[in-house]
Amino acid sequence: MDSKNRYRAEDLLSGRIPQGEEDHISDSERELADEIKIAVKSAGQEKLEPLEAAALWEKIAESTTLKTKRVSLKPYLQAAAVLLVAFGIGFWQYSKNTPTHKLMEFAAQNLNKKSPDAIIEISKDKTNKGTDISLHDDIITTNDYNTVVVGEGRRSAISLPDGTKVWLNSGSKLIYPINFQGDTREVYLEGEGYFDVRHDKQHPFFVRAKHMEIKVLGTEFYVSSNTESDQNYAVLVQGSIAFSTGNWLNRVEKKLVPGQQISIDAKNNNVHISQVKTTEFEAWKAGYVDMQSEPLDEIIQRIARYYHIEISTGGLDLSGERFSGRLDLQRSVADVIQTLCLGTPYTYNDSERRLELKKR
Amino acid sequence: MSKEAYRDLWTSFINGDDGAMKLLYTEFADMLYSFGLRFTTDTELVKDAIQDLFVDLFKYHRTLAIEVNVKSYLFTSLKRKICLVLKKRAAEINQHFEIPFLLSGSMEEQIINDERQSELLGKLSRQLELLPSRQKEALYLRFNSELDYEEISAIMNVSLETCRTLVYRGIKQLRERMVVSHIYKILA
Repeated sequence: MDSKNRYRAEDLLSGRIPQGEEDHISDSERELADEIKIAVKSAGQEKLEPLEAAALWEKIAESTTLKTKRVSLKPYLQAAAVLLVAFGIGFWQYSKNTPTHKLMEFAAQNLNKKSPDAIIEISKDKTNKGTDISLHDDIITTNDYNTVVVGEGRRSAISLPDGTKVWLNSGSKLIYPINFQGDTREVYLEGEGYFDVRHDKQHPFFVRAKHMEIKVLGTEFYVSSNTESDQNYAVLVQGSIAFSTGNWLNRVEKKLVPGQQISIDAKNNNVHISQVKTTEFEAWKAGYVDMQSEPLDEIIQRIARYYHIEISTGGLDLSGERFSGRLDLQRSVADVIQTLCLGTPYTYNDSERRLELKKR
Repeated sequence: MSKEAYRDLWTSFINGDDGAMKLLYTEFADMLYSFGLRFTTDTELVKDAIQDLFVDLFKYHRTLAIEVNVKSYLFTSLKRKICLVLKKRAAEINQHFEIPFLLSGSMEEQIINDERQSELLGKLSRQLELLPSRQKEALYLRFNSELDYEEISAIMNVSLETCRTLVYRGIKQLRERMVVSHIYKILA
């Protein structure tokens, strides 16, 4: 027997190839073994939704003496809006002592602090109805506000005291009051978030951020978004929102209908409305990327944008590797890319965040 | 997480560190959830079993052994809990219960590199579904949950050699069916 053909896929995968004889298997058998691994790996990959995982943990904590807080994860009756937004830091001029002023002042004081000693206290206040549904990120409670900080390369979902759900992207921060008081519900966002706003006509919901504010008007869903750090935009998926930017005389107000994206150029105070496909934003919320015969390098750059990191493809020509299907982003960046690279001649080096040619 | 890290986490859990339990949960919830769904399509049953499992862990943490393989311990306990319920349900309607292993690759979930590969993977997942339950379980634990043979042997309650044989036979069968279907010939 030709030494190349001494072993087969089953020998390789069950570890029956003796040391030193790893080369005695043909490339096609090796490839088939890889394909079988992928087939097994991709069958049965169900995951708990972040909200489900958190609700389940709450039940466990309640049944043990780990009861640190009581949480009500009631079914969401009606959502007013779903929205994806991305913003940088920036502050409006608000009249003093209004809830908005207090929120913006708090954001101004706390978000720019870089050093860890700026973080005041991590408390699990029993009166805190803000539900920490994230299992990874810190919710810092200071005065009357919770600040959620999502670490690099992570995504998070939280539930606000009114039942509004927010999905936050890597590197984002959200500030919201421990309890919504007064006539409005207001939150402050830096980064990217997808909002599913609970319907409450008496208490309109505002998302405040650098250069813009969004008021939730309708009774259905909407999404708004932004990805680039110096470019702000919002995308409405369902429902209705009012978007405003600028101060005083420069103030611009627009109402959006579903499927519209509004972008603002902060320098010139220009506002531009365009039609977009909302499916990608919904996919972002759900944590997957749909690919249709997309080359590997483009997919990798999409993943890098999702997680706000840079990934080097080291000058490799990846255009020949095309993928179709659904890529699950619930795991870490490294896991996602490694899964993607199975069956390609490449491997991902997590510590240097770059793609390399696999050594056989 | 490495085996050593699991052991450290386990040790601090047994020693009464509350934070360790949440870490255990965070680390294993998804893995256990998808493993549980191999025995039933009832997601509520699986979630209840996971809850039960962690509540039990907490209740009995003082009496748990330190020298335990955390992964196989959790997988085994979950499987036992789920199968117990399934067995009871089957008995209620006078049916014989045999431990199933549900493994069907959904094409949507797969990452597919070009059309030829997509066809091959589709074929593979269909063939995978047809393998005997025990072979599917061994393949799943080895290549999906990425457990080692020692852990698999504990979960499946068979010898190390039997585990290897189950994996070997499963792969062999898949390969042979690929050859029959001619798709493999294109690759060869």
